Amino acid sequence: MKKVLEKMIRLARLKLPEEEMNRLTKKTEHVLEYIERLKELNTDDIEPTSHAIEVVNAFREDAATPFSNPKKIVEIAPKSFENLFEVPRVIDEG
Amino acid sequence: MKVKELSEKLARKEIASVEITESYFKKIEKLNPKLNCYLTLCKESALKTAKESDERRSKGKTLGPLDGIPIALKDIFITEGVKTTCASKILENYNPPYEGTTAAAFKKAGAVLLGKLNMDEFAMGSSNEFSAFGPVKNPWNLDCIPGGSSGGSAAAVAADLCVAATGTDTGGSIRQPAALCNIVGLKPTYGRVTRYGLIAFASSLDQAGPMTKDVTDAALMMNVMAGFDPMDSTSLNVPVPDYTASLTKPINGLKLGIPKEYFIDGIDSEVKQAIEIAAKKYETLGAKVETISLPHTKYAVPAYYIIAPAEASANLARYDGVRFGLRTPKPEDLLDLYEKSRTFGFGPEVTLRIVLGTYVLSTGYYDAYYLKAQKVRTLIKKDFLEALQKVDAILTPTAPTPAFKIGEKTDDPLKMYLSDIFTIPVNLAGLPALSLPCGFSKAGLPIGMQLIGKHLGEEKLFQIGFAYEQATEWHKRRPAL
Repeated sequence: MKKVLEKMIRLARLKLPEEEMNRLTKKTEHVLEYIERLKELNTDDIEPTSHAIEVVNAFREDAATPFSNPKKIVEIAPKSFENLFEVPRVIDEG
Repeated sequence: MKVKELSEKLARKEIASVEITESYFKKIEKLNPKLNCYLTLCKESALKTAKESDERRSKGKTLGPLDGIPIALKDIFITEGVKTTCASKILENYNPPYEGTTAAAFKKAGAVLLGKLNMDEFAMGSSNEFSAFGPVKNPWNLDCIPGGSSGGSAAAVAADLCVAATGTDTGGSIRQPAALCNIVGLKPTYGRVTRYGLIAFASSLDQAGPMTKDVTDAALMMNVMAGFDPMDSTSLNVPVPDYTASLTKPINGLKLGIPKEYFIDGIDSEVKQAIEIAAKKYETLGAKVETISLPHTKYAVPAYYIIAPAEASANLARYDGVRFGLRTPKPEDLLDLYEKSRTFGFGPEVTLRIVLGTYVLSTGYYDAYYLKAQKVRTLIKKDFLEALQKVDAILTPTAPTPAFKIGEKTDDPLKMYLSDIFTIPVNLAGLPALSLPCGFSKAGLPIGMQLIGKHLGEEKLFQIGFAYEQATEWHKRRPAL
């Protein structure tokens, strides 16, 4: 299980030290064991419910609406440059 | 102070909004260090709003019953220019660049925002112990939890550190803390109150609602919160009634169903007894009470702990340290930036849910877990809809026990999850449910009952709740602090 969860941690873009990984594995196993209870139920002919209330697609005009203060969006970024979000280099200079 | 009571006093000019707002801040300064309800206070803007309200009133104008009333919002509601943390380190300094619909609606109604309330991080928890900014204490016993995730809201209303508050409820997060703190809490029908401006946890279950000192106040708050919002794709485009109109209707002849599956092992005997006494009270008020069956009840919690973490793992992918929120100081590369920012920013319970969610959605497990849970969700919904053809509302305990001790359940996720055993099924079915005070344990801790109604049946729940409230005194008790 720990191996599988290590993969999940990577997929979820997290990184845990060994001790925390052990604690998390124990807790996850405990919860999954409980979830297994669902196997008792035969659901072969049951339709799945994704939303409790049936809502038909909410269509709207594909029209742009101006945002009051776009500068604010960039300003709250941890690092920005002019009107761009700044991140570490992702491609080599080559 | 209650919304209705204060609104009448303001109308008669017995008191001014500035005066009452100042008195709330004084009380908060005195009691918040004990309770830890508030994460952010908005003193300057609150006094400005209060002054504007008073000036409006002196000219004979008012924006309605909430005008000049000091309220507070759970820190999951987006407020433009007011820090919104969701009780997480990853959003510790997040200052939203836009206003959520609910915050805007309260502004438009003239309400005075005192501040933002503590909660479990990203609304994941049932005790408020998973806040990154320390636990909230239960005003009835400071060694106990107030419930969660809207624990700050429940404690603030119970201790009268605001007139009324808002909460959100994904699996019981309004109703369970309301029950544990002796206040009223409504989880509306899914889609009745907008999700635009709520930080997302599990989008198919999340719903915002009022947390108040009585049913009348909950109705008044719903008059502001409910309604269609084009910014929320699952918002219901259905007219909003005046929720106060149904309150005084008689409940003579109405049928209440008590599900036999809710009286399981592990339910506290004092809670069970309180519900039995409440049922008898309803009979004396002219309602008919009968036993009903919701056969798939025991599968609700396991189904929920697949669906909610799955949706959460997707919703929380946006916290990447790039556009907003916390970023690790010296990342080696982009991947390192993501991993370190997220690992440091999320607390252990949020991490657990992200991992659970990633697992149940991953290749090879999707059908066995996620699809299976969605099918079980159909069965649970069907149970409710069939029962509600026979009865007007379902009466249950809100939580299996009164408030437990701080630290009692933090190491065992299952024990914690089971404190929502009676509230979770309702979210899976998208139904409205009202929690209201119905007794006290021998140790002096509040007990709450839950009324579950049909889709968009909030008015009937208010009617049934109000009748009980008029005939009992529980909701009038206040903690000694």
